[in-house]
Amino acid sequence: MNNKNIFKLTENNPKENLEKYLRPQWSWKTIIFIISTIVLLTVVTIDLEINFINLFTDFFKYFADILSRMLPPDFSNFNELVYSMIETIEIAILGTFIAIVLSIPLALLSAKNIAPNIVIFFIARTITVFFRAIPEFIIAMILVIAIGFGAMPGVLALGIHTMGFLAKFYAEDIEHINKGPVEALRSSGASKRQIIAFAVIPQIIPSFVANNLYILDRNIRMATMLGIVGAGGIGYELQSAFRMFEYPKVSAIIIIIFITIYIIDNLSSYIRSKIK
Amino acid sequence: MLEINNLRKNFNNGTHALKGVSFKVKRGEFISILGPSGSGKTTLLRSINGLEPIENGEVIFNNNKITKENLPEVQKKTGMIFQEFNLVNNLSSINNVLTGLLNSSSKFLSMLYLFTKEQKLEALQSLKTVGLLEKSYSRVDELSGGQRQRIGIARAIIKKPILLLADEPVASLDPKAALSTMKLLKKINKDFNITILCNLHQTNLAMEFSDRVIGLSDGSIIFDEEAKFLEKNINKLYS
Repeated sequence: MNNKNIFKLTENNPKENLEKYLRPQWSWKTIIFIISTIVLLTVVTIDLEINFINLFTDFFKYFADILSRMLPPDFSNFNELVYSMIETIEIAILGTFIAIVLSIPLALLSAKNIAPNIVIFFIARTITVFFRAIPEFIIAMILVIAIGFGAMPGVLALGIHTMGFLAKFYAEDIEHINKGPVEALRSSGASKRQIIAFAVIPQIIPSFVANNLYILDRNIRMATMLGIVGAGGIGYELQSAFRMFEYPKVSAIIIIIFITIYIIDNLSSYIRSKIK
Repeated sequence: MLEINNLRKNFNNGTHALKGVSFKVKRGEFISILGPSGSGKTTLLRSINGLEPIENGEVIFNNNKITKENLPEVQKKTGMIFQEFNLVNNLSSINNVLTGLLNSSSKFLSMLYLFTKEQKLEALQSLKTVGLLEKSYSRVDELSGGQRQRIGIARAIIKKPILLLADEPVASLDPKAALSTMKLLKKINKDFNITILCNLHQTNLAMEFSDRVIGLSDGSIIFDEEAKFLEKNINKLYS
C-alpha cells in the first residue's frame, strides 16, 4: 500500500483504517523471554535452597563479624608480601607471553578467511575451544602434580588456558578485517604470506595490543588465585593466612592485590586509549 | 597490447556478468568504460588481472594469452586502482606504496617490512609523481579521500606498469578531488605511455579525459567509439 492510499483511507475513516496497523508494544517473543527467565530463576533458587530473605537480613551480621576479625590489616611482613605480589605479576607476564606466542599460529590457522583448508581450520578451532574449556585452576592442579610446586605450573597453566582465548580473539579480528587491502595486494601478485604481513596483521594490531593487555590484566588477577593450588605467588600467602586463621594478614594481602590490580587496570586502559 | 575475446562470466548465483565481451586496446590509449551499476564493468577489469578467474573466452596481454601460470608476470605489468582505495589504514603512505612491489621483492625480507634502498627511492619517486612526497611518512588514515586515492595511484605505478586498471577511481571523491584525480591519471597516461582502462559513471569526465569510450550494459558492449561521439551514444546506455 503506498502513502497516497493511506492518506485517502485516513481521511474517510481514520481510526478504523489505521487500527489494523497497530502492533503490541511488547512482542510475544519478549513476553515469552521474560516469563522463561522468571521460571528459570525460580527453579534454580528452589533447587539450590537459597533463601534470599535470610541472606539479606543476615548479611550485615556476617559482614560485621568477618570485618571485625580482619581489621586492622597486618602489614608486619610487608616486604615478603610485596615480593610475592611481584612474583605473581612475573608469573602472569610469562604466562601471557607464552599465550601470545602459541596463539598467533593457532589464530592464523583458525581464521576462516585465511586458514589453509577446512580440516586444519577445524583442528585449530577444536584446540582453541579445548584449552578455553579447561579452567587454569584445573590445569594448574594437574601441573602441580606433574612438575611440583612453584611458579612453573602457574606460568604454564595461564599460558595454555589463555592461549585458547587469545587465539579466538585474534581469529575473530582476522575474520573481520577490511578485505579491500587484501584484494589490492592479491591484484599485484603478492604471496599469501606477504598478504598476511601487509594487509592482515597491520589491520589487527590495535586490537592485538588491546587483547594482550586485557589478558595480561586478567592473568595477574588469576595468578593471585593460582597460588592457592600451589602454583606460586601471593595466592600461596593468602592460602597460608587463611589456614592459620590470620585474618588481619588476609586483609593486608587483599589490599595489596587491590592496589596492584587498580594500578595495572588504569595503566592498561591508558595504553589501550593511546593505540590507534 | 590487450585483446579481450568473447569474455563470459557467470556467477554461482546465476548472474551473467559478462556475455561475450570483445575489444582491443592499443598501447597508450586511455579508455573509459561507462555503464550502469551491475553492467559488468568491475568484473571485466577484475578478469584482466586475475581477481576473477577467466572461465570462458580469452584475454591476450602483450601477445600472450593470460593463464594461471603467467598471471604473476601479468600482475607485475598491471596496476589496479580501486574505488575505496583499498589501502592499509594504519600503515604509512610509503609502506602502502611499497606493497605494490611485493610481487618482485624478497619474500623473506618483505615479510619483515625490509625493502632495498632502491625500492624505497622508487616509492618516494611515485609519491612525488602523485604530489604527496611530503606525506610519505604520514599514516594514510590521516589523509583526505583525494590524497588516499593518490596513494592508491602511487602504489599502482611504482612497479612501472604498462596497463592501469582503474575501477571507478573517483566514485568516492568530491567533484574537485575527482577532477584532480582524473587529471593525474591523464598525466600518467601521457607522460609514461601507460595504457589506462577506467570504469566511470561520469560521462563528462569520460568525454574530457578519454581517447575512447566503451559502453557496457547488462554484460554486453553497446558501443565502442571515440570519446567525441559519446553524446550521441550515451542514450543507448541508459535507455
